[in-house]
Amino acid sequence: MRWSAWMKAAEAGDAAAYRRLLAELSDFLRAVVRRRSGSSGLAAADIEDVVQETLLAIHLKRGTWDPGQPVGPWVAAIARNKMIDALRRRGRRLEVPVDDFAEILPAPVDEEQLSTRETERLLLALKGRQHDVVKAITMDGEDIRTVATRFAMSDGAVRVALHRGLKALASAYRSFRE
Amino acid sequence: MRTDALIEALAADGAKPRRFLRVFSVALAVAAAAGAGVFLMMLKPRANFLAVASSSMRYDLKLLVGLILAVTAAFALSRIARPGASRRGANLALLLAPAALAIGVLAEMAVVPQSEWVARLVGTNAGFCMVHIPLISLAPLGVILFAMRSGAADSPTRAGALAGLAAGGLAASLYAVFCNQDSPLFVAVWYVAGVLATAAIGAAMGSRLLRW
Repeated sequence: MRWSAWMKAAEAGDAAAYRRLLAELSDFLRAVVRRRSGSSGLAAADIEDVVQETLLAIHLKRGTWDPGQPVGPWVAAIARNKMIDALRRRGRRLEVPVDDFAEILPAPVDEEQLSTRETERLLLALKGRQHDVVKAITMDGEDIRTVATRFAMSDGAVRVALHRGLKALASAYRSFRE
Repeated sequence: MRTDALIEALAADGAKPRRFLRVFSVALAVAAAAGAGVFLMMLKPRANFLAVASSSMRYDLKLLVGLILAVTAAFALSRIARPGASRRGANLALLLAPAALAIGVLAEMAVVPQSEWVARLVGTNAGFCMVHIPLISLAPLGVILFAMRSGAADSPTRAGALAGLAAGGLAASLYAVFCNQDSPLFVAVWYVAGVLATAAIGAAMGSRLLRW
């Protein structure tokens, strides 16, 4: 119920409600992905990769949420989809299961602080201003204003570059999959 | 990248989302108009296309089966494009068009002597029919696939095939207004072949265009 209300507020332009929603959803997603990954043995960083790709998909596909429906099942269905992709991708990369090293690896830090490798690598697929803007906001933690000043762009141009950059990031996930 | 930084970026992107169902219903209207436009440019309705509607059940069935297919496939698309939406009813509804056609075929076989079955099935202009249904359906298929890109179907190939069935059903109904072969036996073979060809084209395109 609360999620639906936040989702509606976000659609009406309430960025704070949207931020709260995404923060709660990321906790929810982390739990869902961890539970589902079970035997497949996704490491903490892999789980966080899936959480991030799912958050990105939730953002770009939020038009498919129906206001009459609860948010949870919608989010869980997207997470399931992204998880299948992630496992497929992992299979292709033929990584040594991280489980084998569980005993020698230090215990993972608080997951929200965890920096994922995949998204950072994907950022390299972005070009020009889209790369500059998405990197400045996601890696350097700058806000729209600061980015606009730094790159001598208008706020509007930064927003456009951000939106296109996020779409490009999602399609980078897609091509990475192939 | 840290997840909280990603959330900041997503929250900073204030672009208004477009509601999928709105995009999709507009697309369906455009697809129907595009199909009708293409049909009228390529072919013209048969001379008695209005009068025959009240006198021939075969003609009505032919029109109806295509329409039912278009509507039920569009309904299924509206469900599979939205994660977590229920699909059971939509999947069941997809059986309506084949069921209606099957009943028509059985009825035809019951009232027409066996010696005429083959002639009715082969009809005339079968190749023309098989080619024109996909041709009429291409523009509507493009419009529907484009709208589906704002959806989030878990299986792009299946979604593409359904888009092909929706466009193919529409095209079959339009073509039916031109075609003077009304036997359900003819429809069950040649119309179905044309629609399935469209579904195959849709599946191939969907597997590329509908990934997200």
